[in-house]
Amino acid sequence: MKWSVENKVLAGFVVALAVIAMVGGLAYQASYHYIEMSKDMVQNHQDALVSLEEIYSLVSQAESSQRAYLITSDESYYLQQRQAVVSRIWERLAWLKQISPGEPGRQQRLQQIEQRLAARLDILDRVFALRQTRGLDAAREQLLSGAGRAAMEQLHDSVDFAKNEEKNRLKEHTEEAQGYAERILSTLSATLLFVVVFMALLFLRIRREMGERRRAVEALQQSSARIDMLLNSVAEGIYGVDMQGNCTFINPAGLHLLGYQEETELLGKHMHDLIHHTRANGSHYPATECRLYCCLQSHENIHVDDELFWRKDGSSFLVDYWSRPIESNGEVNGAVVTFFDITERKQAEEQRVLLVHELESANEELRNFGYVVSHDLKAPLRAIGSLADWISTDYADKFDDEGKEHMRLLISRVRRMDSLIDGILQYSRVGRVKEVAVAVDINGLVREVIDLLAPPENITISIVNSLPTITAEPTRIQQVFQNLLSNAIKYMDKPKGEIRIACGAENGQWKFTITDNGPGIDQQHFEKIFQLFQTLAPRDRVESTGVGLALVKKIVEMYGGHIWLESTVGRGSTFFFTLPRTTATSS
Amino acid sequence: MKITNKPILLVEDDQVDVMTVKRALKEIHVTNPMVNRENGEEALKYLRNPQSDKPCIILLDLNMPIMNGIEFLRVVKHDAQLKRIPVVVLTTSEEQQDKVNSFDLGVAGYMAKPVDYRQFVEVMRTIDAYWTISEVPH
Repeated sequence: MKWSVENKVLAGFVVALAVIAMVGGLAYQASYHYIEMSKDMVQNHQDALVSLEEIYSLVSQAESSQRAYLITSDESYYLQQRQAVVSRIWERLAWLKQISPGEPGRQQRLQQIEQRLAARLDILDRVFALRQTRGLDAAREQLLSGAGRAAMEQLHDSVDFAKNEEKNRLKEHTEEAQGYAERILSTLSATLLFVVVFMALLFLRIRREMGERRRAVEALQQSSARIDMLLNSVAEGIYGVDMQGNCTFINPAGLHLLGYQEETELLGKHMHDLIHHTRANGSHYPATECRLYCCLQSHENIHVDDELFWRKDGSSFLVDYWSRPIESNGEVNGAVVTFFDITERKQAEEQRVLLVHELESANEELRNFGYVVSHDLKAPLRAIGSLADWISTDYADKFDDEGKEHMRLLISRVRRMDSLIDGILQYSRVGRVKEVAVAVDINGLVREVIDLLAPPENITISIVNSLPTITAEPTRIQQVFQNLLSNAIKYMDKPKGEIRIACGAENGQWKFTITDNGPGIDQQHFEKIFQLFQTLAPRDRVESTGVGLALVKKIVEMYGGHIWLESTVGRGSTFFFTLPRTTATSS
Repeated sequence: MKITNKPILLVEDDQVDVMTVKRALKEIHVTNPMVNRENGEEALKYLRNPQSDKPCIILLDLNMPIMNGIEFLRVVKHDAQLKRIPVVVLTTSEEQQDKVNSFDLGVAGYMAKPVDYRQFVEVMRTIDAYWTISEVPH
């Protein structure tokens, strides 16, 4: 069993109290015992001392009474007095014996005293008998013999000895009692010290506990203040419900969203009946089917974004809400619901979906447009081409030179139209037709392109440094190099043409450069040349569709790269383009 | 053509294209009779007619109304009677997907129609040369 701090402290106090009570009891008992013992002992010894003194003095008194009788012969007074004294002596002795049952030493000494007393009284009796039988002289003679004096001295010695013994015993007993008292005192002190230390420790423990408790209370206050601040500042509505679905709290945003003024308007109310009673289609929403209520029973988290909440004024709004069970001591005792108005979001979403759909269909139309137009344009074009060819063949003898020239021009325009359509087809195919991206060795690819283009002998194409391998669609990369290189070749105006290809890494991208010493391009045309069907030379001089650079730009940008150029008119141009170094895949 | 008595079936809707093929064949001295049908459906009718001569080769356009070339191929190549007749696609389309579909359906060749008539004659000459040398099952 785990002891709570309260129980520990209580147990500590109980132990301390028990120890104090025990020590107090013992001390009282010991002191009482000490006092009683001391009192009896001292009394006993003092009684003994007094009695011994008395016995001795009584013997002296008996002697003197007898002496007086011897002289006066007055039996009525002195003799009686003597007899009374003797009986009193025996009485005292008997009493002394009686108060000394546990004192063997004293018993022994009393026995000696008794013997000597008897001897002394015997001498007295003998003198007394002589006085009565033979007269005063005989008694005096007997007295003079000194036997009585000697016996008296012996008695005196015994009594003295006994008295000394009594004094010694008294002293011994007193010392013993004092020792006992000291032991008790030291035990008492040790125990009290223990109790003091124990109480001090207990006090420290309580103080620490109180410190912790104070800090905990402060932390609790802080966290509670923080929670209040959060609840008050969030834009989402937040409310709590108990297991019956009744409101336990609601934050200001929640009140605002639901159109209430005071928290008290909702506290204790059944939230479903107030704000969730009707479905979006207008039908009644029974609490038993309410997802909030069900999740309360099943202790689940839920997220719903397709239902309505109802305001105080009877209007409703589309809501997005979460509900999470509240646990306390391992038991679910309610839930917290977080919600916000998503009417605008829903509208925006709907608009976005609509827009995306429109865009998609427009895009799809555009894609198909290029393809269909190209195909449908080609068939009649081919027919024109064929027919023109037949006419010029079959009726060759009917045409004059001018007619023949017109037919030639007609056929050449058909060819140009055909290549324009091919250009559109190529251009529209980029991004529409996907190839598998593979590792493309640009070195090899560029050499193949150069072979394909078969540049005239006066033009040298050199690869300045080793070109990288990138992951891309091979056809597209080939189109890029083929168009850029064929342009450089096609427009070359110098007797000794030089075209250089280089590549370097820059900002995580490959930067390719293709430099020529051709005619160069005026800066005002830099943008125009990348537009579809734009050419700078008249088509009759240089056969060009104006698709090439537009195609290159489209491909490079599809891979996330850029294309630009630097050029000096008369000196040549450098085309730059970048491709990502990491796996370049068309999006 | 190796077999000269069997007709060539041209499935083509464009009148000038039909004329072009006829003229080109004449120019390269192919003497086989030529049968022209305007779309896949008409061509199938011809092929399935027991009275008509089975062609030695089918020249097929892809872009046609009613039943296009690919649809026609799907039917022909699943027909045990017809699937061994060699089909050469003659089309404007240079679309990768059209090529893939055609070869998936077992065409014998895929030729793009050049705009230039002279080039077209060369294409026809090549087809003729090939089918003069190539063996065909009877």
